[in-house]
Amino acid sequence: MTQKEYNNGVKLWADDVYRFAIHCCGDSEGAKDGVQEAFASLWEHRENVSETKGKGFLLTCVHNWAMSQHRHQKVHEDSLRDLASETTTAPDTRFDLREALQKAAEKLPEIQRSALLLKDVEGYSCREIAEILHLNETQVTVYLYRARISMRKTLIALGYDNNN
Amino acid sequence: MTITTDNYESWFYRYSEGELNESERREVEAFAAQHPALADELSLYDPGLKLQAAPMVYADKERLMHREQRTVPLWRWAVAACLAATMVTVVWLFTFDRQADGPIVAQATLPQPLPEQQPATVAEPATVVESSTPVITKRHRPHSTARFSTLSSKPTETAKADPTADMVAAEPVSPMDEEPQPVVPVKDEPTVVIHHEIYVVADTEPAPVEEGTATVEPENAIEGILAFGRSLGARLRAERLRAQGNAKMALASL
Repeated sequence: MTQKEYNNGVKLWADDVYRFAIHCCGDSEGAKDGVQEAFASLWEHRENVSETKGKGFLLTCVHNWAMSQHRHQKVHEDSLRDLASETTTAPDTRFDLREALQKAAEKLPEIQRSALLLKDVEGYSCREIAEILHLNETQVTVYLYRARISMRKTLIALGYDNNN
Repeated sequence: MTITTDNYESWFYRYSEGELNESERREVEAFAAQHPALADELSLYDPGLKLQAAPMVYADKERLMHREQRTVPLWRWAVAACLAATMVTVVWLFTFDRQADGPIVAQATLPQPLPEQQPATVAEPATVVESSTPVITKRHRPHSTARFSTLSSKPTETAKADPTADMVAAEPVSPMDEEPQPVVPVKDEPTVVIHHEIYVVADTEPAPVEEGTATVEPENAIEGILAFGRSLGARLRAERLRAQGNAKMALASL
């Protein structure tokens, strides 16, 4: 990838990568850090990354970055979640479907959420998702299946059962 | 590859997404019939339940870009430095040669006063130059050195004081060789005619030394300029004294 192709990729991919980072970490400021790290990594490895693989490389970097961030913050978040569960009363069901889907996706494990985001939002195939997430195709299908089942259960719990 | 309780999720996913052929679909349905709990799970799968993409804009794209950095090789800097040094040297040499090749000859000549009006005190300078015609001293100068020639009030002494100085003959050169202006005597007042001219002498063959013309060679241009200034100052003082009616003092000031 040349410098011109890299700069062109910044214009084309930065928004999508930023959206994926926000879905992964749930924090816009933290997502900016993830985007910067991803593009810095792409620039560093630009000699070995073709232009067609550039966006996938960036999403992989963001996913790995989000996984590492998730591991670092897991203990802290668990303690906060335990504290919040003691004070939470009834779940707020005044969501629209989009917010409900977002909230259900946030409850998914990191790998399932990433696979679901890449499938639904970015439109990648299972084979491409497998390349991005360094999985095999069967694993991707399993994660997607589990993610959709889990989301459906969450939506039913939130009162959004589209079968009703 | 048959469907089992270990890999059923992948089969169910492909079944729900419509990626299986007819025989595979029948195999999945048979497996679900044998496992009611898994069949209930399969009924929860909704392929139309997809995450929706919210429009996101990353505003700081400029910081992510890498501008082209022009790196000039070291040899280009070396070539540029050599060229610059050469140009400076050439310009310096050219300027130096022009200063050296163009010496200024400052010559002040006095016309021979009338015998009956010439005071004794100024007789000697008046005899320095027999003719008021401007002269150009010619001498061969192998080295580029600024040289100046001025008329001395005592040319013979100057020549003796500097025996190495190659005194050269003064010879009229056209168009400078004009006729001396006639001196119009003024009643009861000596006439002073002052010639103060500067000539540029070209490098020519050395000429023999002739008495009556003295050249003084300052070592640099500054001394020549100072000599010219002194001569000019003397002329101005003489003019001022003459205007005041003191011809004797005017001649003495020269």
